[in-house]
Amino acid sequence: MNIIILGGFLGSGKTTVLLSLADYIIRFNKDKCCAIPVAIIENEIGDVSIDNQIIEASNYNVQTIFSGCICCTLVSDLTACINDISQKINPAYAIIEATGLAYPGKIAETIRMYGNEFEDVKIFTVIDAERWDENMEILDIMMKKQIHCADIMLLNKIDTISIRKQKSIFNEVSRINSKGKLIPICAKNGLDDEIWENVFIDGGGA
Amino acid sequence: MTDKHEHINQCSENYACDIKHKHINENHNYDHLACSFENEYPQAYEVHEHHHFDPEQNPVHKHYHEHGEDCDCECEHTHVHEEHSHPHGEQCTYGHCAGEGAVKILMHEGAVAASFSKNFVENLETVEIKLMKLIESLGSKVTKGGALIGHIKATVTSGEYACMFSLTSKEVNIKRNEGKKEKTITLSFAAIILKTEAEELRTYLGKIYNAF
Repeated sequence: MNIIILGGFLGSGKTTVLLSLADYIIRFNKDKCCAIPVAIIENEIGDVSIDNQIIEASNYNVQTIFSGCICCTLVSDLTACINDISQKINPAYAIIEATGLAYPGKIAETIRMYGNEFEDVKIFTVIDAERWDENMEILDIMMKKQIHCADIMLLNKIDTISIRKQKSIFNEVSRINSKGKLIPICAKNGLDDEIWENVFIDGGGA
Repeated sequence: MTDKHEHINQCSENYACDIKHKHINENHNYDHLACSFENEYPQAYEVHEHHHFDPEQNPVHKHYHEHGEDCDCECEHTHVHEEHSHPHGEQCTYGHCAGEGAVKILMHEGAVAASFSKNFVENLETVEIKLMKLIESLGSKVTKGGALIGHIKATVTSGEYACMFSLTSKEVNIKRNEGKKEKTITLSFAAIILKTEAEELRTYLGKIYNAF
């Protein structure tokens, strides 16, 4: 089982990206005749789970961990959940959608430390281009940590900013993380397979 | 055969069955333990009466507050609300009292996460239109107050149908999954806001809860 941790600040578009990613993995895995291509773990800070309802309505296999954060307060729940999925379902991919206030690096650490032996653990971080300045002003440390640990950085909502601004954010993001692959996207318009091929060929996939 | 309690609290506060109160009726005629109430609430301000006719029966609440005081229940009234009942021990879901009590708050990394869930029967289209306006209004209120929206999300589900609303900056985004609908609608609502006060957010969400 491969694990993808989908991180990124609140409102960056993680759920929209997740739906596209899950769809791609299912189609990608059709050729490989994998029984269950993808399982999704949703984490919500609040007492009420929201995202899982729209994901479940899309007929994906979803496990929800709510009322806390899997990078800190609910570490044991995450470990139990991921090991359970691995034993019972063993999908080709498990996608963990972190809360917008989580540190994906810590989640990866937990999984590597306490999880079963997984083929691969990758971090995809979605970055909100539209609210880059606003978010950096308030929670710059968290934003930088979310970006720093990423294997793939998806700079979302690029349709809302100028080319000049795009270049400026590109430079800033690259300074924070020069190793990860930075890909500009506009998730609300749908993501082409080309984007995911780019991600999976030599970036984040197995 | 009436077991009468009085509890006193702020108008905007939850006066569900577990609120602190004093017993004012000495003629208690069933086991005290059947009632979870404990102490007098300190702020004598607004009076709610709480009657138990029998532990097995529904308690009846009656609600008063000072004349001229805005109790925010959005009705033209004489400041004595109608009696209402619900099963003993169950969250009071009457009028404006219900909302704030139903909102759960969690703090994380300096952000306030507030949420609630509610089931009801109403026209789905009307609910979605109303909800969209309420989300826009909440977004506008919190940003005007200097807060930053992490996200405001809500889902309306009915049977196999699901519709998700989300707001982070200006526009409310909507995602729908069509499917067979049922009579009952479930509304789940969550807001994560930075640079805001938890109780302020609770009040806002309480009002949204009460709007349905």
